[in-house]
Amino acid sequence: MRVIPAKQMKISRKIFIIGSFFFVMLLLMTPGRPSIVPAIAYQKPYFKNIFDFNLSGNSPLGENMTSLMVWGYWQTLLAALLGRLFAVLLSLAGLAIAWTGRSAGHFWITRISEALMTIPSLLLALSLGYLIGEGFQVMILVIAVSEWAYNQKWMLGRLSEYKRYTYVEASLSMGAGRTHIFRKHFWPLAVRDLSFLFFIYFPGSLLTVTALEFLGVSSGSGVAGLGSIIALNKDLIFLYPHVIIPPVVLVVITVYIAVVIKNEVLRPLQEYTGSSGMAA
Amino acid sequence: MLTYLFRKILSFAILFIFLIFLILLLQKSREGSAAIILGGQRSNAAEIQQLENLAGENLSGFAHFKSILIAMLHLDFGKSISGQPVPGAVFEAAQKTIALALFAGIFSLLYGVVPGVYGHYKTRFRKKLQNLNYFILATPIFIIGLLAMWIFSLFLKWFSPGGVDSAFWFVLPGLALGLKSGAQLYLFTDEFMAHELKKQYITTAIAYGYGRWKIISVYALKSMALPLLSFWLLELGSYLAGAAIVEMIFSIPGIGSLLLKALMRYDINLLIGVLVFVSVMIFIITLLHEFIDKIYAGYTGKTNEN
Repeated sequence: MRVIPAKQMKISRKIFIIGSFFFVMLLLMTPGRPSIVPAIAYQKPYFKNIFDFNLSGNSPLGENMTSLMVWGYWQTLLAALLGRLFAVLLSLAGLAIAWTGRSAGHFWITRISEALMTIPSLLLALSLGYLIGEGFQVMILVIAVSEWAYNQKWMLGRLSEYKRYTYVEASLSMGAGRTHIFRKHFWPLAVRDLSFLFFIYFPGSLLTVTALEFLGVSSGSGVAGLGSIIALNKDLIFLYPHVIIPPVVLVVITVYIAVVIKNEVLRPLQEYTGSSGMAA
Repeated sequence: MLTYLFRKILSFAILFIFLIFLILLLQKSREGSAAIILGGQRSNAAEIQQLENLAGENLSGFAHFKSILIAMLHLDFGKSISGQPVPGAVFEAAQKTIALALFAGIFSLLYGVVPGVYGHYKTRFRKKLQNLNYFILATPIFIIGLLAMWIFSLFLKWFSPGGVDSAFWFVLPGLALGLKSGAQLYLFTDEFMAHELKKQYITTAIAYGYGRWKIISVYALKSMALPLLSFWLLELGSYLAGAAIVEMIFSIPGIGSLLLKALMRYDINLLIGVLVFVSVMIFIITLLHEFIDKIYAGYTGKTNEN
């Protein structure tokens, strides 16, 4: 039986505790949906009172900054998580088509993913974001499509490895159908590989979502994401630093936690469980 | 070699047609039009119709697709809605982006390799450098750009906050663009060095009494050269994406700004021109990367998995 190395266990436990504390604090702090507050509230000094959920004062438009920031944070995080999830699900569907569709299915899935890979994912996401229009679902779709190609390429590589497993070759020679082999043999392997891919590329998705928000791709929900808050207030750094510093810090902390988990826990774990991935 | 190249170009041509089809499909399904942007709020229906004819928006999806492909076969990329030929606009913008990418590339190479190698010479700095680079990787490129602008332009007033008028316009955006890939290169160098220093020939060199600096800088660094070059080339492709953000922050009229302009103004010819330019660049970079990979495989008998 394989045991996770003690160093990785220690780091992952530490990250889990810090991360959990960070998210619980944010959840506890989540106040009501951001709205324009009366002009009198605009005069409030920031850090005035911990209990009125107005820790970081108001934005130049008079919105409660804590509320704006925390709602924006959840929106950005949710878009990245769901986008990543859909990218992974699309890759699973692509894998099924590439296997059950025989050479034609494999050919088209390879060609489409290669076509999308010729454009950097951020530029592709930006183009799609503007071309499809605004909306939270659009943001998720854009992330899913722009990141799908890299996942699919990786999964197609894994498919050629799956095919070489002796029990798969034995099933094929005994006359098992392609759908049966996919359901019984490839599915568990692919789910394990894709769950690993989900986490390893998550920091990238989060960065893409914030970059898209910064570049003006709107989720259209009426709540500004963290990237939008930074873009809207970027010229006010010396006038209203409290409006721009907290969203910057939140983005960096979240991606930092994700990058450390990826590099210190997932990568060594991947190497430990086998050079070709989790399925080994 | 020629057959390989021919097959690659043919494959790219298929991808290219698919790309144009996808862009056109999405553009046709999008609300709004270039004619409305050009005509403005005061234009009447007849003027809008005339502008739509000019922009090719009155054509059906398939007819437009066919006309674009036929024009491209004659190397005619059309005009943007402002009347400027697309190749001219793209090349003008590309000069700025390429200058920016080259500066960023050189900076990232220096930033990534020198501390990456030094970290193995003076090992007490290694963990600190690693953490610093994780932190840089976790910072979105627009935050790096904004911080650079706030500190060096607005606070210290060393550089111009934007535009391409000053002599060193590319320094600040280039630093912002190159820092993240420099951090990637650092982690790559660090990991590769750690792996390489455990090998048998290094142990032999130590047994012969060579100094640590000589072992690192001559033997380990030499074996790292090709994989590093290949990784750096792949990173160059990411500059085209990062440029969109950096160019927006520093108001540089490069490829990224041109793409945003084309998207906002529904300029289909310009959009296709920019995306085709980007994909050709990525295609060339990928070809170079594969070529280096083949040389590396020839030397070591294995592919460059890093």
